[in-house]
Amino acid sequence: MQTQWNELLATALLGTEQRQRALLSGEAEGLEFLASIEASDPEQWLLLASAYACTYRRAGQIPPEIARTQTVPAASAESKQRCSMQVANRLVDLLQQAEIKELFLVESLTILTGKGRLVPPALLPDLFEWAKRNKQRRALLVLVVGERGKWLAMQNPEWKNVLQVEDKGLVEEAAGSIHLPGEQAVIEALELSVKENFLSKALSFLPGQGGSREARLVQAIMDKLLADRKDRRVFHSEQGLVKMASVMPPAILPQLIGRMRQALSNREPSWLEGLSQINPSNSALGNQGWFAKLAELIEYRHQMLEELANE
Amino acid sequence: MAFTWTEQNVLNLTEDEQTRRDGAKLATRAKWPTLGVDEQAIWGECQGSGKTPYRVSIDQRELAYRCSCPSKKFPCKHTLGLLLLFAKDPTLFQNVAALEWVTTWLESRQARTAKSPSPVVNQEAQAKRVQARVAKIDEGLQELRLWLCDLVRHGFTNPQVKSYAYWDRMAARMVDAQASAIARRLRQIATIPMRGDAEWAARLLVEVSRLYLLADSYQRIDSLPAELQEDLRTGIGWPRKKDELLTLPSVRDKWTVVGQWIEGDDSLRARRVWLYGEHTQRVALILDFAPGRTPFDETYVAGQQYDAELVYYPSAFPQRALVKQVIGISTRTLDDLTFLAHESFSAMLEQYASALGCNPWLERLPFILRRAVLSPHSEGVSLYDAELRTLPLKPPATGDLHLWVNIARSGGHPTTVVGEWDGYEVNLLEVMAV
Repeated sequence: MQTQWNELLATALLGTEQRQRALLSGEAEGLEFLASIEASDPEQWLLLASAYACTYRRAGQIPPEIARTQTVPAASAESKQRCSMQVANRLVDLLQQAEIKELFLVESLTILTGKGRLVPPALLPDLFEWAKRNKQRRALLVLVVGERGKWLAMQNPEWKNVLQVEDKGLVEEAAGSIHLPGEQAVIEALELSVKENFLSKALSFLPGQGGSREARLVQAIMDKLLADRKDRRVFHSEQGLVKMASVMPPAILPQLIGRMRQALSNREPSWLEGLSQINPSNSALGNQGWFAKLAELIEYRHQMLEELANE
Repeated sequence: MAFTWTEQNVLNLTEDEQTRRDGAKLATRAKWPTLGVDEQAIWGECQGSGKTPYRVSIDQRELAYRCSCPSKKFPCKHTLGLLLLFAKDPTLFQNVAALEWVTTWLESRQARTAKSPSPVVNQEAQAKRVQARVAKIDEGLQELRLWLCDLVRHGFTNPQVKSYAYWDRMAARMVDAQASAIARRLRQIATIPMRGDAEWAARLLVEVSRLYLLADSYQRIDSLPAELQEDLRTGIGWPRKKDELLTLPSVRDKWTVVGQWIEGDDSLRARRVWLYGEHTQRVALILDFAPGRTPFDETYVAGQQYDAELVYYPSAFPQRALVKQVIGISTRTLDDLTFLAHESFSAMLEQYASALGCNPWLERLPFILRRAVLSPHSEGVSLYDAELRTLPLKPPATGDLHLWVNIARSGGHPTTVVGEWDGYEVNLLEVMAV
């Protein structure tokens, strides 16, 4: 059958003008049954014979045996547990916005490392693509991808080095205790985005000045943010806002969210609706935009940390 | 019977990531002053920026939804938010009598789906239109046959074969002749000579000869069995009226969505949704189209099982079907359908051969294969069965990680897969995680 098909193919390639006689005379081996097709001209014969032959070939197809070189041993079983579906969904969301929410993704993976949990296998390709050109990101993956991740990285030449981290210190750092941002980090993050000196005000939350330390920190942050909101010159990129949101100590998040919501609802009763539509880089929206976006990001991070805490 | 909502099912209702994210944000009790549920519907009011809250109602029986917000997305973030909240904690929804705006919507849906009186048909005018169409198609197909003969007379090495314009001119002629399906096939065939792989000439010969067989057989259509006549008309692009189809006998079964595939470009997307009937053990294909970024009319999620009546398009090997009526929706997994699965590629190919025997123009056949292994290696990725036999896999588009996600999910272990076989390669639709 292969010979017959090759004959038809050779004729189609060269054209019946040059090859019709061989076909019509049935000289080629095994073409007899095709030669009995009634046709008014060599072109019609070639097209009908090819149609019958290809249908015949398709109907009689036998799948070939797989070559030994095309089989690989399966991934080993995992010794660690995978993260919950809720956290997996959160990681999917973070990966889809990894350009902007990189800091949140890094924080999530660090926490998963600390808890000894693995990411779901379906996320490995996206995580490998995210990490393959950055050694800090690669170090972060080593302890959360498990046996499945190690196996997968070996299968794709693009990812063969994705889990190769020469600096073991980076992996140890990723595996170390979860780094919680301190007050100084908050000050620095806020200072980065403002012109006037916030440091002296922020230092007022030092111990011994009345109220809890968290409450004073929240108050200092709110004072600063509300002052910035009134200043028409102050705008923030979304990445800048993510950075601010990512350094807020987890313990103050519920209080801070409450205060920010309150501040927004005092002036814009329905700020929550349409919040995601607000583009903080759009100056037409003014400071309402970035402030609302920051509140949204802080709330997002709070939800993320709550989910991770339940792991 | 209501659909069982899970967070994953809900998120699968849309392809739009922004809607998913926004919906997730709205999935908290505080955003919904009113929440309710009954046997047929789920509803809620979401406080938006205006004074009037957005009203969301979901018909659980037929998986339809409506929101009063101005968003053009479908489903919108409010619909998704409400369903996510229901999936997370259904106890938040009071089981009470549906509010008036919910029942009004449900009633209007019912009224729309109820049979409307047939418009008065001018049979004489209709017969004339059909006659004119037949004449146009006859003329067009005659031209196509001559054109295909010219093509093989000059041979595939003729430089114009590699020009898209060469194929597109004939495709445009077929559009004029009202043979839209042939026009679509010609435009698909146009890409074959440009692929530059070793198989392009063989594949081109297969496609043009099958097209010729179609055009040639059409000359003798009246002498063919009625069902094969229908396949010929489908192959040409003769439209079928939905109303007429719905008068044909229906098949009731528990139909499970086993996989789907969307292809096309920014101008038009086509979606194939494959359903398997639990009792009849039949396959059904829901084929629909959406222009641009417009969402498809209905949402199908792998694992949804519809207790439904389907009407098959007449064919010697019926696959394409219309949903006539949905009685209830539940969920299944691929594990529940293993009795419909093949144990080997050989078994699947046997079924394919008998399908081709019925309809030689069959485009593709779906299959479920047990104990299949996805194996990446230095030359690419192979899919092999329990008998260590393999068929070629459709290569992914550049940058598409879908295949690698499936490899990661299975980890090189035997698993159940769902695919489409088109005579050349396997298009992988679903892989069960191991």
